Amino acid sequence: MDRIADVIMIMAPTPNIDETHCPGCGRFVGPYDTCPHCQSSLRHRISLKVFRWIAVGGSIIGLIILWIGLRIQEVPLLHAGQIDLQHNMATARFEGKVISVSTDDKKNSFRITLDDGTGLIVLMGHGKLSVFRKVLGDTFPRPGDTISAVGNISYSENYGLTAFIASPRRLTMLSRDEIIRKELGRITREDIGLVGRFEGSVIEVTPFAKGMTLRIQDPSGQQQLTVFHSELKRLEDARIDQISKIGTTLRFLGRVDVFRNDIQLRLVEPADPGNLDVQPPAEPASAPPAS
Amino acid sequence: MKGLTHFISAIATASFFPQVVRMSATPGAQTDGAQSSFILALAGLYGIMPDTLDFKFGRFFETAEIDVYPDPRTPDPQSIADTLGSAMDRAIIENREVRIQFHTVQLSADHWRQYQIAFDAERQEVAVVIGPVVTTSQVAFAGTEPENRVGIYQLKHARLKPGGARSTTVDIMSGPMYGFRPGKDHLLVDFLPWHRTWSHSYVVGAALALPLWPLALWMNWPSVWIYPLIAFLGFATHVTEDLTGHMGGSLFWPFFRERTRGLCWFHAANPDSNFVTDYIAVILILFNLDRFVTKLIPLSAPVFFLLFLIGPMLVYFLPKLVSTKPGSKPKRQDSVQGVIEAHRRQAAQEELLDESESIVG
Amino acid sequence: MTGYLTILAFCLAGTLSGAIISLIPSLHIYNTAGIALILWTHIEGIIPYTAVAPFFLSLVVAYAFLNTIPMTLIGAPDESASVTILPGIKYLTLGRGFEATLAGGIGSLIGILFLSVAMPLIYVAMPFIHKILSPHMHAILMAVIVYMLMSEWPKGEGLGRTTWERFRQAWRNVFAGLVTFGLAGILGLIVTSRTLVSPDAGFQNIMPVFIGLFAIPGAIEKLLSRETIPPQHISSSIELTRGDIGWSTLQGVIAGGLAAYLPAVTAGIGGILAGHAVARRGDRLFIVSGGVAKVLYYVGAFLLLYCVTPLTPMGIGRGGLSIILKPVLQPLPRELPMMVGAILLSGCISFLLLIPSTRLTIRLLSRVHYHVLYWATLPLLVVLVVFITGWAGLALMLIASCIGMIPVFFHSRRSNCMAVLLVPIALNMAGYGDTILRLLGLD
Repeated sequence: MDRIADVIMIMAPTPNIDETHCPGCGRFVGPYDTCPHCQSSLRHRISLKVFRWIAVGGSIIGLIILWIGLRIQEVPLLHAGQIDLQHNMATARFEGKVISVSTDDKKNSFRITLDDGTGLIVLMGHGKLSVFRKVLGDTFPRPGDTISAVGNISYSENYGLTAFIASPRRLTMLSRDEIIRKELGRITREDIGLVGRFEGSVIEVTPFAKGMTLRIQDPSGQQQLTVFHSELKRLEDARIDQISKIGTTLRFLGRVDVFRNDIQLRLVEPADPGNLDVQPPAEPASAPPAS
Repeated sequence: MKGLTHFISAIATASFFPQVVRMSATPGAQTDGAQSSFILALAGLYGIMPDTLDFKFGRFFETAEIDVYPDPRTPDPQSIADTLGSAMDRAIIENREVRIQFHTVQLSADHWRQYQIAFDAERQEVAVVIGPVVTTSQVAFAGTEPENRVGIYQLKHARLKPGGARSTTVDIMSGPMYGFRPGKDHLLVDFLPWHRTWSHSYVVGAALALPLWPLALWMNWPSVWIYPLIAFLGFATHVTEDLTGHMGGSLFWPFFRERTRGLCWFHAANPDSNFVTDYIAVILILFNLDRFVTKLIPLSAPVFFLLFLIGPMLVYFLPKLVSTKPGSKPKRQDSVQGVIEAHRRQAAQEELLDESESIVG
Repeated sequence: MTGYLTILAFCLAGTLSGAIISLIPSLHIYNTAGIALILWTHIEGIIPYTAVAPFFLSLVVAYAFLNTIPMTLIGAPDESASVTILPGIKYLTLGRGFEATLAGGIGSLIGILFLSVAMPLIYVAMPFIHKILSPHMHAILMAVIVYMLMSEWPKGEGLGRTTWERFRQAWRNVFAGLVTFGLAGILGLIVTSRTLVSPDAGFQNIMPVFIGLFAIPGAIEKLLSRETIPPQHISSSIELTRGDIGWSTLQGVIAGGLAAYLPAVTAGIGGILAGHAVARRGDRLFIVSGGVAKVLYYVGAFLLLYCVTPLTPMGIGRGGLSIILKPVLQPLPRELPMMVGAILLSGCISFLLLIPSTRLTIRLLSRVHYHVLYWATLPLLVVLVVFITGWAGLALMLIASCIGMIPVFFHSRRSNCMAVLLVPIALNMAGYGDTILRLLGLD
């Protein structure tokens, strides 16, 4: 026993043997309140017991209060123009007009560009397109819609300003302008950003690296329609080839845009049903056989 | 094998099923059948389950008839040996199983009194040797052994079979339980009689995996049959791996309750066998994940395994292969047998001295 | 040449700044790095753009080395409060704290050397590993969660007169671990769905939670301890064999590698997995491998950002420093040699600083009780939280502190608190984010 005591003294100079050993049977009990060997109570442990109950009780009550507090609290509204580095990873609400919507069915993802009057922010949903479409249905955002969205801000050198939306219930339609039919010749600079229905025949096709510019015409006038290869790829049917034939009639949902100070039209979600109708030119009648 | 080894091995087993790997992938991986399933984790859960059942539940319900709590201040080896030996004799006399639980002797947060239990089939004796004080890392403080440190009990009725009982060292955390049963000619000695019995049975594994079938049906998961299959295979991987050790298991409990002997290839805590198994499992998992979903590795299977399995294993074992030093670790303390022999010699000398004194006196 | 000297100067500045900050107990480098970055954007020209990454990288390298000092030397656990003692603290109570700290520093140096040598291989191999594992990341994280919960063994021997008493005594720490995990997981699900903290402090909105889960309970534990630190011997050698170094490197690389790559897996969790994988015991192994793991976790994770290849065109950004610098940084693979040079330089200087800093700390602790340091640190942490995240952040910190105290007082694993990130990340990656929001009513 003396030798053991000596060892403990050398190795750990101040072990408080009285408080760590049971007064009843002398065995080491460490942090326990009741000796597991002889069931003696170690009264000096009451202070630790209090802390334990505070820890457990405080956690549960705190979580409940936190949850209730967050449920009743509104998510603060932020403007794209005021977003700075310190807002990275914050949860905030944005309201504005949808400039463009890009969907990828293969990756089940979407990107919605929003203009809130102070700047642009891209709302993203990775792997959530199908859920959003199912829940939102017809109210899935379209260019021209005014929406409110709650998302987690991500500010990066690669992607710019984006916000990730976790749930379709965090995206609310505030207003949707009725889609009107506009004649090509009546489109002016005041219509920039307008989403409407257009119709015209293809009279000229000018390809470029990433797509083609179609000049389309209706009785009122002409306009440029820019179509990118990436948009056509999503069609997956005969329209891919037919769209660029001279004489083809196009009826489409489009947006008035501007590029290098020139007005141009852009397709809006051409893959969605009813958004792009392509009628190829009529086949010339076959010549009668020689008599 | 250790818990992590069983866990990863079970996942590796599951990864051989293309459907499982594809189910585990997220839909963004653009692979058929992708469901973001947690089925690989399910395999791991069942892989670690047998030891969980034993060490976290089973052992608390297995009571011993006799509990040995050595006195931390003045441990009495003879008293411990007498208790142990009597228990063994009682098993024969009363023709039933007797279980005895040895407890550790914790002296402080990091100090324990070590003691050894030895079985001598040649002399038909059991011995208890009180060792030094050790830390939780099992580093001994030389010179802390008590003076009176050996206790020997001569068995009167029980007969030990050579190699039939495993000696053990009791020092840190928790102590072992022994079970003694009368056998045909000898006493049967079970080390940790509650371990690897019902929990290490293929039958029990199947029974535990079966409830996943109705669960999958109720939750409307696709391919209902795969969940119980993967769970069972995870469980079976553990049971099969444990056969490489010394203890084996009761593979077909409750139909056959005897614990089989293992293949004695490795000890469960052998670091090399554990690490090598872990590494092989990880390489297999990577290989399977790629060949069923991503298909990125531009190497054929033989080249891949040569480069990433055989090669690293050679590097791992190279220091041992080229080492010219003898492999054994330096002894920290006297061997148990040496201590017992020294005790016998001293006891014989003392007896001789007493006799000569009585003659002279 | 000017550019080279500028970067060199900021490497040194980062190393020195990191060294000083690391000596403050319970203060994490990511908190100060985040604040430093905000300052940088507001005070233009203070650090040229090319020097930003080397400066912050050097800051973190120094932290990986010098944080060993407060971890090992400041505070000894009371025997009556702990059932098991960590090896570094054990050495402290034996008067070998200097040796333990230096052993940890040697581990960190090994980590730096490993990263420097292995970076070309990591650059080639990691994109493949990343693409193979990415589709299954949620399953990997869930497997880590399952293993963490299943591998916490009952600490008690199961003593008691009845089965129930034995079960209860042994299971106390396991049950506490499960409760900690559950509560931390719920906290994580709540704060990742919405937060009390104002969006203006979004970049540090998780800071109050981590300070509450880890720093505050750690400080309280030290303050409750009645132990005094015995006199420390300043040794001129360290007890380490070649075998110790080899096995520690292996264990540390596995631990640090897992922590660097897997989201929400810290060096502590990686250490548990690696320790079970390597399956070797020993205090020296634990201390040295911990040093290796810390470097791979803090520094290696950031270097993955530079693995810009056709398979991973945006790099493989991991770890706190990547998140902090991502808004301002566009990593280019050609900058990787410069980063490796920065960590080598900073690592070597940090190790050299470690020796006198350890001596200084030991001398300070012989004059000032460590309780004084923690009494000074606690209000500093509270002020930091209030200053950056406001009273809402303080409320979050208090709730998290209650959860963080459960493992301290019930002797379960503190790594269970990482459920605060592990659970929401695993569930979100698996596509259950919307379901969680709906169940919590926070959508």
